Amino acid sequence: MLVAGVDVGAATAKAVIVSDGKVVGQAVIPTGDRIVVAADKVTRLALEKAGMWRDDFDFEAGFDYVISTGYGRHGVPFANKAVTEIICHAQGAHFLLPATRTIIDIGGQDSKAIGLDERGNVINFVMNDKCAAGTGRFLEVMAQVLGVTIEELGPIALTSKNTCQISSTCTIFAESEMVSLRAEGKSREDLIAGIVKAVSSRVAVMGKTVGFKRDVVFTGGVAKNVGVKKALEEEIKMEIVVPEEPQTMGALGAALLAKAELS
Amino acid sequence: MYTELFKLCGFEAEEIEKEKPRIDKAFKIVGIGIEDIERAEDRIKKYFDIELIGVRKVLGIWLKQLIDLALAREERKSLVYICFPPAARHGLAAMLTSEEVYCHSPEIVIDVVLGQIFGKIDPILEAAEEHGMPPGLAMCSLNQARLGAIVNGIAPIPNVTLTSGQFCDQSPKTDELLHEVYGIPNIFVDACIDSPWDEYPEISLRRVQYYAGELTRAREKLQDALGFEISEEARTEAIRGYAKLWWAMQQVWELNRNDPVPISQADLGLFYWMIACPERRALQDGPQIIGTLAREVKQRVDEGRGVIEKGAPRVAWMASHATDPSIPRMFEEVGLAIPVSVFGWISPIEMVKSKFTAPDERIAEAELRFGFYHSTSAAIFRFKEICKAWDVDGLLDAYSFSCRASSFYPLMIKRAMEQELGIPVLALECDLYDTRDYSTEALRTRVETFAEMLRAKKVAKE
Repeated sequence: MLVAGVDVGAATAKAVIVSDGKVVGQAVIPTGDRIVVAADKVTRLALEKAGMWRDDFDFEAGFDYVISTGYGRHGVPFANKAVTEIICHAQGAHFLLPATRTIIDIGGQDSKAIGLDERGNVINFVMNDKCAAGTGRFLEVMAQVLGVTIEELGPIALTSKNTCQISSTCTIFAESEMVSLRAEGKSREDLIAGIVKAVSSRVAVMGKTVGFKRDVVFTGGVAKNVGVKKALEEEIKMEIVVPEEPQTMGALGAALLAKAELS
Repeated sequence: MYTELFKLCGFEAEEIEKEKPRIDKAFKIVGIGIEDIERAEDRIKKYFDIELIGVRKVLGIWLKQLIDLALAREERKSLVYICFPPAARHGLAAMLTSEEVYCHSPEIVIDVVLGQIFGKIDPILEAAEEHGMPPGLAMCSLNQARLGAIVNGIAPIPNVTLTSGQFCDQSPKTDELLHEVYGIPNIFVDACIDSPWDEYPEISLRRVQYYAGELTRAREKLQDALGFEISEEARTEAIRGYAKLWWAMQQVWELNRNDPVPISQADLGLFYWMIACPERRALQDGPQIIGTLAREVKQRVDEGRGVIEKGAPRVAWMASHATDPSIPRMFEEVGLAIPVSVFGWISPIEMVKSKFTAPDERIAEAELRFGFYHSTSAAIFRFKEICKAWDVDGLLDAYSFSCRASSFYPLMIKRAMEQELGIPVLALECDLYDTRDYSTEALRTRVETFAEMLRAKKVAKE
């Protein structure tokens, strides 16, 4: 039985291939401007990693079931069903870490806090509304302003001795605030720590409406940022678990749901 | 050019012909051209259930209201712009006293007709933003529509405005602006929204009497402005006419208790806004149109037909969007049945027979009993009452981003429903009056997840 989960997010597209109940391949690529192309390409890449790609592979006939998720979920032509990323993240996290009761998911365009029951069902959730504050996009813009890569943000934040207070939660205002703080002579490390803290505070406040219950699992691309993880732990005063592949959690959940459709 | 549009809205060919000079003149004032008409036809077919004669007829009432508004200065001697709720019955009473009076909330007409039907409200809001109600400052878009319609010359300058801060401060502030810029005299009904947290559902005599006293004072000022007395008979008739519309709609709401839900909130929204702020046409033709709708909906119920599949999770929601029918349609697309709106249904608390006899005291008591014009605690109480009475699976609290009154309590409502009733709540930040404040597609993810949550809960329960 060959199934796939395809998560087309605002920033990245992810695919997970499950064959006979085992994860055999996964991939992540930038979404770009065409959802159909991104879905096609990332699924092909995941198949290649699974060693299952053939030039005549037909997405419609080659899979037994495909579930799409993410913002582009309704634009994946070979998907049998579209399911929201909130449900898929819950399924993925529950599969890998059954003790998960809260998920913090920070992606490129949005952030979410999700409450789960012991079977992995979503029982409550909250998402950021309309604003880039508290998202990967916020970090991306700030990284550009400070001339570092997004991957460097986390490790640099951990070296800070005196975290700057970033008062603006708006991405645009924070950008100008960053410029004036630099003019004041604040160090790059302290500024980056301030940025990371700003994202964490925003997400922690939002997540309080769902309530943080152990185990708290951090998913999405931003979960790879060690600085945000540490700042979030300080905010919510709980240990946070980051799975090995936090970015593909939604795609994994989608693939597991695809498998469940057939059983 | 517009024959098809008016037919979709329940007009007969002779009526279109007869009304042609008025339509031509009004469309010229409003700036409606062929592209707008084509867009309106598409939107009506897409969003509204035109299989139902009642729906077509209510769309027709709205088109007539737009024409009446645009031609009001030409056709009537005195124009009064009111804010609902407290002034609505005074406005009706004034119109019942004299044919020379036009009395309405132009912003409601603009929102429903230019927003829902023509999909053309942004220029009105932008005009307001350029003339005293700037963007980004939490200005209520309903009130922006009031200012923008005057700025753009769609709503003529009225003789007087009659308003109150009973629900929100934005209406009187907007009218102060209209006074400052256009010299329009204002009459204010002083508010009495502050109240002890646990008072509701009791209504204190002091509050009723204070509110009634303010209504009386405002009516006297309105009489001075209009130059005639608004008789007690007209006031009683206005109260009766207003109540008749609301009671007529209850038949339709009750039919919506059936599974599958027989009619969409997109359609019911057209009726809600008609009765929330009625004017002459709603009073005259409204009960008959609602009666037609009730018969058609009853037939659907008898045939087991609905707008969403039987067994779908049932949710209550706050209120119909004034400008955007795509929101309730999206809710239905993701598999949620919405039988009831918290603002639309009359709860048993409101059915208590009034102990007051004076018309202004009866108006004051009715408004306070509605809950939302009483206090935050009463609003929460009302949400709970309705969720219990309708035994819903969830609550969709789609509140308005720029509404200072209603955006204050979504979290309090969420906590009360979830902890006290065990009902999941999705607090959805959008806007009842401004489609620029949200994206229907961005909201879809939340609503789809909520629908999935409710389905899973329902399955587990069964």
